[in-house]
Amino acid sequence: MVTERNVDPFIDEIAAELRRPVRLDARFDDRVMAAIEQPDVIPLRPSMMPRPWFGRRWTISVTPVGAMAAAASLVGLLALGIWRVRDAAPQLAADSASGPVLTPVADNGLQYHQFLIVAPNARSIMLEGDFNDWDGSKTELTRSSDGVWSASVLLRPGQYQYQFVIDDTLRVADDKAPRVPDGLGGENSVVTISPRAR
Amino acid sequence: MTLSRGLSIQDDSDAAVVARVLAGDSRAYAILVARYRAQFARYAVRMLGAREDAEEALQDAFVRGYRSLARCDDPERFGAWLFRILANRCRTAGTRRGRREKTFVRDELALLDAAEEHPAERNAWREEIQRALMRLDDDHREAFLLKHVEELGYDEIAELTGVGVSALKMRVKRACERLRVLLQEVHGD
Repeated sequence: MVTERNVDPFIDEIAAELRRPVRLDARFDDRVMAAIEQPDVIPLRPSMMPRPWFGRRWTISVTPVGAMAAAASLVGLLALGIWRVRDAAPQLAADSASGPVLTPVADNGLQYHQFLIVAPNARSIMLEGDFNDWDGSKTELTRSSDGVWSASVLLRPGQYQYQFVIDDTLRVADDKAPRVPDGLGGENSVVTISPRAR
Repeated sequence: MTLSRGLSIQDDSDAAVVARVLAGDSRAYAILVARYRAQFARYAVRMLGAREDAEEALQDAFVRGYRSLARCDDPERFGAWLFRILANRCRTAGTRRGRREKTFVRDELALLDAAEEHPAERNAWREEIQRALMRLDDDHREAFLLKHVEELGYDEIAELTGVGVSALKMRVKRACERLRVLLQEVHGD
């Protein structure tokens, strides 16, 4: 898209030279395709993507005794006229077959993971990783009074690589996590989110 | 430059190819690689100055793009989405490189550009342009390339970099001024 046209002939000439095509290694495409076919590189399916809480499917487990107790409690509450919404917690959809809503015992696997780094002198710290398209502006860490920076990120089970970006310039791996070469002379940290035991 | 669609390698839209990949046809990703490779390689080479660094960053961007493909909210604009990943990787590579090499080897530049006949003076001028470009601050070089070489609008650059339009205009302005000084020094004008 061209919006503001340059009118400086000198800059135009430089830009025209820089627009000339460049040559890549003839095997570049093959290298990329070989890299993506490594077993640890799997594109997430849309069905694996995090959903907002209101879009999640909740599984409700109710024992017969619990259902009876809950039903009795519900009737009691309604009879006393003290039913009210206490907070903004997810309104779980309970169909007629599930009985009253009690406690969700399973979700779609999303878990919060807290990323931490100690950097008392940092002015800002961002988190870049597979989970945010390596865009640090999406995940900014918060500093506590003791110089510990943290951010909690909702992740599905899987393995993710990441780095911290300190003061918009310095990229560092997390020294408390396993690390792997990033292919650019540095290292990425790796976090593994395991499925919850049910 | 239109980031939403590159060379037409096949008739399939980006969204259709993305859907094929997500459905399990990983080889279809090669269509997207071929479609955007040349366009993005130019940016990476100009930004990083060395073909080897540029190829690493570009390959890394394509692999990260594949791995995160389901997070591409608008598959029809796959190119713009991937370009954002590439720009981030170029920034990372540039920061790492730091002062290690603000220059590049003359012979390497000869390999950068597609084969074509041109006089020695022209080649020398191109070398000086790339050399001057590499002497700019990374932020200024990025803004200059996105504005004047990739021909993006300031709003697009702002979306891509997360930097405000006003700051971007200042970076581009300073980059132009600095390039003028550096290149006029070469010519002794």
